[in-house]
Amino acid sequence: MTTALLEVDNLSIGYRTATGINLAVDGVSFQVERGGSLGLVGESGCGKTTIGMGLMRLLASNARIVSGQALFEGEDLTTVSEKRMRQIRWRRISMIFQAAMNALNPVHRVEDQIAEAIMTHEPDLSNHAVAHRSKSLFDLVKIPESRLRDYPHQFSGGMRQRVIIAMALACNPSLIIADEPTTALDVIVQNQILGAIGTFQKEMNIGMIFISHDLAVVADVCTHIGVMHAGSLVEYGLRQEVLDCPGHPYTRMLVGSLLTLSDEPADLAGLVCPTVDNGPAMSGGCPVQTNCPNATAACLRGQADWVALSRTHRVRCKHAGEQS
Amino acid sequence: MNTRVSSPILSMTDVTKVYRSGDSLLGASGSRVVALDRISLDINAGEIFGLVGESGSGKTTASRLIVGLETPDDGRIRFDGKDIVGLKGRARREFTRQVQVIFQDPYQSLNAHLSIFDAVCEPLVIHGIGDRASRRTRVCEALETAELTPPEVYLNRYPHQLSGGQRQRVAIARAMILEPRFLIADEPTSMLDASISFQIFRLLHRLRETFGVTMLFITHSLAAARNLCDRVGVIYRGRLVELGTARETIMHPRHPYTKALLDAHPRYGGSNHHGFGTLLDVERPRPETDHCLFYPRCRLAVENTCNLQAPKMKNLDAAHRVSCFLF
Amino acid sequence: MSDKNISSPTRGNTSCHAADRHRSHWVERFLDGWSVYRKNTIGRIGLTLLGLFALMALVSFIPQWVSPIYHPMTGVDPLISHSTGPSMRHWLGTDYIGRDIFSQLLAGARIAFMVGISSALISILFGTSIGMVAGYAGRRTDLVLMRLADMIMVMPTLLVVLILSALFGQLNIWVIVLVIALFRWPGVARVIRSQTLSLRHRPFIEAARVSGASHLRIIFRHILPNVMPLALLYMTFRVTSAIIIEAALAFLGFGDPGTVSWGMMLQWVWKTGHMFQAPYWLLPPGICISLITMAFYMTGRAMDDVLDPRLRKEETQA
Repeated sequence: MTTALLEVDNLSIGYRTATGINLAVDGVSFQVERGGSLGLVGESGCGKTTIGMGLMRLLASNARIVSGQALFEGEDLTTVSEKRMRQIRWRRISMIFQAAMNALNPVHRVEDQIAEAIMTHEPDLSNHAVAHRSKSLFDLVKIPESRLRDYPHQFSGGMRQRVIIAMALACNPSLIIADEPTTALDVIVQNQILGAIGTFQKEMNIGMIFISHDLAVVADVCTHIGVMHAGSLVEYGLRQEVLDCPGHPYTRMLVGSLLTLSDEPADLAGLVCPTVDNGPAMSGGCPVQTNCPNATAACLRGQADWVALSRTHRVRCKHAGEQS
Repeated sequence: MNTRVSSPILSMTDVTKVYRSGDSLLGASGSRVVALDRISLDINAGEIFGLVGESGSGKTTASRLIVGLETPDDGRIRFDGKDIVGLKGRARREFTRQVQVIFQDPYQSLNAHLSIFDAVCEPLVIHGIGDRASRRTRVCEALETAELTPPEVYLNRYPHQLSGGQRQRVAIARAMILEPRFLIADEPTSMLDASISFQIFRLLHRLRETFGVTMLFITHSLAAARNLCDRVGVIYRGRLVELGTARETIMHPRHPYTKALLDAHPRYGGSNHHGFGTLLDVERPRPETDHCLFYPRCRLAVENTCNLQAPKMKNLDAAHRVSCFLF
Repeated sequence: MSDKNISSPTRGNTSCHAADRHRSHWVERFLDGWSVYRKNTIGRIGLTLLGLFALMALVSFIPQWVSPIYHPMTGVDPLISHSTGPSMRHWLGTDYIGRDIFSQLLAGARIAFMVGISSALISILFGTSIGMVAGYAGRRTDLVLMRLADMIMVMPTLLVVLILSALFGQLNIWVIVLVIALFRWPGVARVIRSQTLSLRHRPFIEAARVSGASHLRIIFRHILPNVMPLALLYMTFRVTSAIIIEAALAFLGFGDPGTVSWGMMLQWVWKTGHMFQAPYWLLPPGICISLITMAFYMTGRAMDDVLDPRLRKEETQA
């Protein structure tokens, strides 16, 4: 399948430390289709944000892409020149950060900031076209026209995050990387933002990588889910497959600790979930081993290969076949 | 969940707290923010009561008023039938033995310069309980209660050597060491990962089962409240809008705001999702007069009623109360 | 890293173990800080200079022990009765009555450390306690203490000491130390107060309050350890200013005539009219004063880097 919008293959990203290179992302592969959405789920420090920054080539100075490639519309993002990357960044791939709503310039009107974002990347557009574009963007993220001339401080957190989304969409990108875009927001606002993201993604046929620690949120907006742990992708598949029949013990634990609303509360005392506090795994072995109830001696000897559970669903666990 | 019916251990009556900013000694008043507006609720002995609300709704203010970190501007708070506002000296110490708090951020609630032993032991020292040997035993017991085993491993460590989940367990051990009767958990898991949160919920649940400690559980998550609490109160901008059993209030909400919260809950796992649609797309302007605080966002609001006065709490049945003109 | 603090295998409940546990925490923090500090060139220079001066202070007892003629105060060389230049017998020469300048310089280092550190210690003690109390108590206490601090801060220390000595005659060196300390705490108090203000509503302080901890306990057990590094940093700056003030006083002739400080040596040079005749006598104490204040200042700057950079604040006036 070469039709994928983004094809990440065996991507590894490392941080230089005093003792050598520390892999934050270790051999991750996935695809994002045009109009599709992939949710990367994992707990803090699992490397999900590093992937997003790596694809945008916005890594910290002590981090670098160690190996692998990321084909985006036929170009390898890991090797293109910085000059070309500047053209791709924001125009073809844009990003929504977690605290982005605090990144708006307080002394400029919201409307002008959008217009500037459009004009920076498409200097040929007439003023009229820019105004038209920014109005349609505000329509899309449901900001009333009357608020266009307001300053950022007059907006609530949710409204500002919508402005950020509008700015991310300003240049008609074909891929959006959303890194915890709703984490700091209240549930109702979060729901509205997720709704807005869903709408534009469908309407504009944009591919999306949605990075979050919250499986419930990812389940709401994404067609595909990739579960990450300690720098590795451990499970990848369609949303229903991952949520309804998780193949990896770690995913099972994440799904198991998802609190749901039902007429009967979950049996908190009865549910077993492994401790994830056990600390780092031994190098070389399966990254989940120390926290895995099913770990055997084989798990210490090296990371498992991918096991396909269906055409679209794969798991990286030596015991994947045995339990389901 | 077995709802124990008994007398209230804690009761708040018309508790109001107003924050004033920009006050000077000359008496010129700055802006006023009403953090809590005439809140009345009872928490029964042995239950886990959930206070659900969004950030800034006043739920944390409620907990600060109860433990005396701040004093209410109006209203009464009674613990065991005794007024606890402005307790001093001996009475205050006696009260602090019975009411403890678990704070939101385990990275902030432990002093970086105290070892785990010193941190957990501190309440014993403050209240002059036990000698060196017995304190050590009690600290170990408390750490075991918080599922930090074996406890000896942790005694000499410092907070920066522990993960977030472990720190929160240390905070729980510190709160439990005096064997309090009432525990306030103020969003204890909002800084933690999902699987760790789950374990903390399970631990809190176990504390209630084992020690019979009454709990006020403050959260923004309907799912957490649903699964952990016996009863919940929903608070919106400082006013209590709905109060009832966790099942009735969350699964069959009556107030438009509670319904909006349920609508906004991530769909996955919400098996019987209703889609109430009580939220307006475009907010109305806020009325000048006293009004239902949810009026500007409420699709069901009745003109000339909701925008002219504040609704009062009404009993729907023995357990379920709601503050809305529609009922 | 996780096992570093599990110190002894037999963990008893004696007080020495508690102390041991406590020490290892501070030792670890010190080593952490040191690893940052030693990368700082300015800090290394400052510390080396301080080491040299400390050495001078330590060996300052040797000359008079070798021969009474090298006593910095009373050791008059019987063969010399006027100022002479450097020689084998007197490495830096002698002053107007034949006392050895080199041994005076060594004694001056001792006095500089004594004056600087003791006065800084006292002012830090005052400043930290008052700052913590003001920041923690807030309201009226804060207002009163800070206005008092403002009032003292605007008084020129030098002038006050001059007036005092005009009133009471020659002041003892310890009185001078105390007066300097009493006029130099407000700056420290302000910084410690603002740090305390930021700590006051931190959850761990509130957790202690909820546990019923007394105000004293909160201040000493929870706030003090958190402001201590800052207090130590300010101590280095206070040392600098105390040394300069003492030197200025002595030079103007208001020092303690019973001590040999560098300022006093300068005063002798000046009073006996050797200002431009005896550079061997004028330069050493002058250079020493500049170097030692610079060394303390550099040390402080480097410590500043070790601490949270957000706490940085210029505090240089002497």
